[in-house]
Order: sequence, then C-alpha cells, then structure tokens
Amino acid sequence: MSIELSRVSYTYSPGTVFETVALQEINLTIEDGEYLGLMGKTGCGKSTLLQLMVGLMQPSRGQIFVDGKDINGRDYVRAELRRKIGMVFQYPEIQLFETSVEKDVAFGLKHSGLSKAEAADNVRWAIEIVGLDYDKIRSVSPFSLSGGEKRRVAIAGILAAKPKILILDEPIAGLDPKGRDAFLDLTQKLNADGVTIIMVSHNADALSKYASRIIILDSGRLALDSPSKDAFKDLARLETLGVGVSQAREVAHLLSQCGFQTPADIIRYEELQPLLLSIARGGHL
Amino acid sequence: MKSLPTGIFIPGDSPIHRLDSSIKLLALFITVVTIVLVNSFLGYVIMILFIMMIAMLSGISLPVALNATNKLYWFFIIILLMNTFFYSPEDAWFSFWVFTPSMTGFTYGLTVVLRVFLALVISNILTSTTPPMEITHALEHLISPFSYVGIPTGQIAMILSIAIQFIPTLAEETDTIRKAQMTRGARFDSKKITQKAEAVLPMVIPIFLAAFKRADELSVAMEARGYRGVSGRTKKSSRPLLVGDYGALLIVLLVCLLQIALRLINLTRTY
Ligand SMILES: Nc1ncnc2c1ncn2[C@@H]1O[C@H](COP(=O)(O)OP(=O)(O)O)[C@@H](O)[C@H]1O
Ligand SMILES: [Mg+2]
Repeated sequence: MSIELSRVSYTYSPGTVFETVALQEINLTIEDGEYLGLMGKTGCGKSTLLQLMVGLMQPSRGQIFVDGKDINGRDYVRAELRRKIGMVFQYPEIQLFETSVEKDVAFGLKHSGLSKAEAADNVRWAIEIVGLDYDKIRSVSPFSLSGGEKRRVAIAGILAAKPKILILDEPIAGLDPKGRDAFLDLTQKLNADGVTIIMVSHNADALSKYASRIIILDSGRLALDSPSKDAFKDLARLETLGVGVSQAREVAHLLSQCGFQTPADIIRYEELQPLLLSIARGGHL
Repeated sequence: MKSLPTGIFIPGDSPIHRLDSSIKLLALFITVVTIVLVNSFLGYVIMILFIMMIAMLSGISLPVALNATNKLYWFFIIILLMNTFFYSPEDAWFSFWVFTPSMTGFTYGLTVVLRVFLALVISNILTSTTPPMEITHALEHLISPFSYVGIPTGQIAMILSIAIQFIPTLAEETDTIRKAQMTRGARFDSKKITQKAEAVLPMVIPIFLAAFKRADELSVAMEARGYRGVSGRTKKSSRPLLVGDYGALLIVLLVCLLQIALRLINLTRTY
C-alpha cells in the first residue's frame, strides 16, 4: 500500500487567462502505515495534491502509482482505487443525503461487492468507531443531528468501506477542542490498526503530536519533507513558508533564547514537560 | 477543466471592456434586433464583419468568442435539415413521402442558423467583457422606467444580482459534493444509465440543502443590516458617460439604420 508520485505537475485551466500552476514537479513516496502531515500557506496546492492522489483529477504531467500501478493508466480499474482510498473533505457533512444514518453510512458499500451481512457489520463498526451509539442513531435522519454528530456520520460513511489509506483535507477546522481531540484520537487509532493517514492541517500542535512525517508545500513545490521531530527546527524558514509551530516548540525556543540548553527537536508537550520541571527545580542550565 | 465555461467574464482593458455597461446592454439589444431585421446577402456580410470587428476590439480570442455555440452544432444541423425538407413544398426539387427538399428551404434554414449564431456570439462577447454585477446594474438602469407603472424594478435587479453572485459559490459546492460522493463510490462517470440515475439523488439533495442554507443565512444577514426592499441601490462605482460611450451607441444605431435601409430596398426578397 504505497503511494508514489513521480514528477507530478498540475495546471488549472491551461491555455486561458485563468491559467494557474498549482503543482510543479512533485516527487514523493508515502509508505504503508505512515501518518503524514501536509502543511503550507493557503493556495500552495495541498488540496490539489490530495485530489490527484485519489484520482479525482489527472496530473498535467507526471505519474501517480498506488501499489505500483499507474492510477491514470489506460487499463487501471478506478473502483479499485475507490476501495483502497477514502477521502474526507473539509466540512464532510455536506455529503449527507439519505433518510437515515444507517443508509447514509452504507451508501459507499453499494458497489463494494460485500454481502449484506458483511456490509451491515461494516456500518455498525463505522458508526461505533466515530463515537456514536449505533442502536440509538441508526434510524434517525442525519439532518436532525447536531453539527458535530453530522460530521461524525459523514466520516463514518467514508470509514465504512474500510479504506487502507485515509486522506483528510483540513478535517478539524471548525471543531471544538473536545471534538477535535476525539477526532485526532480516532485517526491515531486507525493508524495503529495499519491505515495510512495523510492529513492537511494548519494546526501544528495536532500534527506535531500525531504525524510521524511532515511535508510542506510552497507555491506548488515541495519545500520540506522530513520526520516531524526534525521538521520544526528552522523557525525562520517555517516563518517564510507560512507554517506555524507547536506551542511546545515555541516554549522550547524561548527557553533556549533565555540561555537554557534545550534540544531543537522538542515538539510535543510530553517532551517539554521534564525539561520545564527540571528548570523549575533549578537543576538545569 | 479543458475550456472555460461559456460566457464567463474575462478581465481585460479593451475599448469594449471600458464601455459603460448600460450602453453596452442597450447596444446588444439593438444589435440583436438588427440581426433579426437583416434579409439580404449584403446585410449578412455587413453584420458578420461588424461582429468580427467588435470581437477583435474586445481582445477576446476567437475560440472563446465562438464557444457560445460549441454545444449547439446539432441544433443548427437539425434546424437546417428541417427547413430544407419541409419549408417550401411549392418549389421542391422532388417530393418523397412527407419530404419536400428545396433550395428556398435550405437558404431559409441557413439564415435562421446564422441569426441565432450571430446573436449568441454577440451576447457572449457582452458577458465576457462585463462583470456580472455590472450587467445587473445596467439591467436595473434600463428597466427603471417601468417602476413608474408599479413594477418593482429595484427588487428584480436585486434578486438577479444575488442569483448571479451565488453562481460561483454554488458551482464550487457542487464540485465538492460531486467529488465527495465519487470518492465514496458514486458512479457519475459510469456509462450505464441505471447507475447514472442512481447517482442523481446523492448530488441533488446536498446541492439543494446547501442552496437553501445559503439563502437562509443571507436573508438573515440582510435583515440584520436593515434591508427592507427599498429601491435606490447605489452603485459601487459609476462614472459619467464619455464621448466613447455615445460614439459606440451611435455606431450601433448607424448599423441598425443601414440594415433597415437595405431591408426597404430589398423588400421583395424574403429571407
Ligand atoms: N478549481 C480551480 N480552478 C482554478 N484554480 C484553482 C482551482 N482550485 C484551486 N485553484 C488554484 O490552485 C492553487 C492551489 O489551490 P489549492 O490546491 O486549493 O491550495 P490549498 O488547498 O493549499 O489552499 C491556488 O492558487 C488556487 O487558486
Ligand atoms: Mg485546500
């Protein structure tokens, strides 16, 4: 289950006055089971990159391989890609349309070739894993739910197909802190079960905590690609790339400016805490 | 996306872009009427040259100016065939069953096609060189005399401009919904008609809900800011008419008069 992009470029409306170069010469390999964070300024090409990976658009140049097969090749079966990759758009609740939660979640399984019983199992699993009570909510209309519940149902509708790769475009924008944490924990749980996670977010705290690798785009080019503990070292560079850093990294940086010896790869609260404690006890300089 | 949507505004700084939008709309109206008046070969040549000249002045490339008619070739062919085969039984070459093909019918069909074609191209040039909001202002301006007989022209223009403003938002939302349902396994790209029909509801329901939600939010926002439907909307920017505006209108009127004159000379011909 790997995704490989080879010299991928994408241009919107080529040959017109609205021509926009969104991506240029992207080379990237994403391995099985990674938790990848994708960052960058608004308009740098993140959404475009994700949509190319799920085959919603075709690259203007370059190739994309999923499990070694060119997904835009002539004899590639699109249904295979749909089964493997799930995509959560920003505000996914917009996709709800069925009369009951259960039916909406089951929508994606129609052409999956699963038996009725298997499909029902998947639906129950998906509704429960997003933290909803299956028996209570299954026959309720999705439109009568609260905003947070709607979003969970929508995400359950994507998880029901049990994708091996989950791609998320700014999924936590507009969630309250509790809902956000619950959602991020869910992605971590899925990742622990072997699902590859590729997530766009502006939330450096979230990505520092959960992602193992960070990729930053700048004007359609790959500007940074490194393990997350190394990704946030060069603060000046990140500033020009329009990417923030986690609070823990920020505090560690302030401490080092005050003369305390702090490693530059502290990005999580858990890593910062021992240091703070030892400083507070006066034992660290 | 390979080509631009038909009639989309293309920013520019050509003489046509700079014309006052009310004058442009009035000129379009006169030009379309003139196109219908034309009934001679010379008249059509003049009209084609005139519209080509406007297209060149506007800086809109020829393919873009012509893309208004891209999807209509079948329509044109059918009109042409219908006229050729049914229009004039009197001087048909021969008659077979219900078909009476004639040269008169063919030329008449050709003129109908040409008129529709020219009207579409010139309208396309207008919408390509005028921001949608300007068009609604121009429309409001032109229909304002009707307010004296009790027609709420201000509100009509407001409704139109809101509708136009929402098109890009709704188009974007439609695109997102289509993509979201596709990644969930909806088969929009399927060739089977049953699967196509099946994919309608997952599109239509979210689109309607999104549109209603937007309309609802907008009406609340308008009310909160004190909108009570009173007319007299102000323009964001308005400039006085310039010599060029009057000149453009004069040219269009002259072309129109010329065509009327040609038609009077040519009364006996009827295509
Ligand atoms: N449908 C579209 N048509 C034309 N240009 C687009 C479209 N979608 C995005 N773009 C342009 O492509 C660039 C990259 O956009 P996008 O991938 O959405 O960036 P991001 O998700 O990082 O904010 C931007 O300059 C944007 O204006
Ligand atoms: Mg985006």
